[in-house]
Amino acid sequence: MDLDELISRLGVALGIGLLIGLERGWRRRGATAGSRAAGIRTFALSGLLGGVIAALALALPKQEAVGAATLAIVLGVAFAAYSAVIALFTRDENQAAGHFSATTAIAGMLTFALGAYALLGDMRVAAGAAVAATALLAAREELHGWVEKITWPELRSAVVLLAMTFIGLPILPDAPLGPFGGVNPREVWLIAIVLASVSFLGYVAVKYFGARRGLLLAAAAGGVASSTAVTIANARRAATREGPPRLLAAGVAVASAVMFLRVVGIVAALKVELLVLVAPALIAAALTALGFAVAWMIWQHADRDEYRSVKFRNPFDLLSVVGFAVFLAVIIVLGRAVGEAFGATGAVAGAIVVGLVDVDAVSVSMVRLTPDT
Amino acid sequence: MLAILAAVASDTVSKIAIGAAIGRGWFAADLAVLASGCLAVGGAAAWLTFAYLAP
Repeated sequence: MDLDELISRLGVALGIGLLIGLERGWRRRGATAGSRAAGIRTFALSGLLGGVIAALALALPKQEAVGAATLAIVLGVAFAAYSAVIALFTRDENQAAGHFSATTAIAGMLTFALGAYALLGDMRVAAGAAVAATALLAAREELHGWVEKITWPELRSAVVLLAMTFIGLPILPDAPLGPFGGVNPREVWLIAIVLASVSFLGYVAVKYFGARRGLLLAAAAGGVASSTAVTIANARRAATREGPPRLLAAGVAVASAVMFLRVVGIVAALKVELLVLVAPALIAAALTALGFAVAWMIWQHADRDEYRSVKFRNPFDLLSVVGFAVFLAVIIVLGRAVGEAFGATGAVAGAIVVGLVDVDAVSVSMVRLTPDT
Repeated sequence: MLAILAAVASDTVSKIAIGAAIGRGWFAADLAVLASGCLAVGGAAAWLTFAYLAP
């Protein structure tokens, strides 16, 4: 490492400390001098200290075989010593202020570690991590408020959705099972995840943006993934009287408009010469759907009390979501079977059946099948 | 191209079925109106396109 690089890396280490220290110092800006364990100066020095220790460890004369071990030992001992000092001072500060918090100690240890990493590793990663840490520290009130407001059904649904995505999805076989091209269990599970996500998104949007804006925003966002999922979610809400039917129908209209435009986008991306034939019908249908949405919103607007009655009880129901996913997968297989059974004319027949569930798959496969002119 | 429009039309019709099977009541009626309107306007636009622009 040459001198220029060393100086710039130490500069990043110092900057990391200043950034995190700025937030820490600002938060305790009302405290009297000498009553804080660490402020902007201490954090800036902590970042620089991490960088200097790493530079010292690099500069130590070492043999090839024990080089990495020496570096690790020096850094480990220095980190342990720094952690002990900052933990002691934080404990004294907590005792004097009469509260419990490990945030300053953890932030100090992170600053030291990031300072060292800025010298030894990728400076951009170290700086990015410092920005993320500062954002987390600065969002204290928002995060605490959010945790206080979250209900048990919301937490449970979020955990189930995460488990479906990060535990269930990777362990399912990614190969078709059964006749007519078969059912891919991972694809079925993916449909279930989309259905659950769209329903969850609608719940969260209504909670944070209100009934009218929330439902429409969720429908528009959900329509990007699947207008069928939005329709199923809104139909369930309508059946359980969790919202005004017309407002929920307006959501489906918005999702449908997004779906029509999405297909236009797919055709434009894959075979632009087909656009002139496909786009007019789809854009006309999208405008019609948007017209219905606007009309129904105005209609709803006359009765404001109806909006206030929107009360979603549960982000989503796992069993019904999985049930629908299996049902939709069966329709997809049926579509493939129809396509194979009817030979040359089977493409349209199969598309009609598969289109009941998944327009994108049909659009992509049909556009690719169209010969180049 | 016909298959794409057929799939989109079928997806639109499926909303009537979902509305009737799950949502029922006014929600189902509204979805039926929505789907019919989109199919009618989209169908008319497709017919005009094929009549005047198709090679």
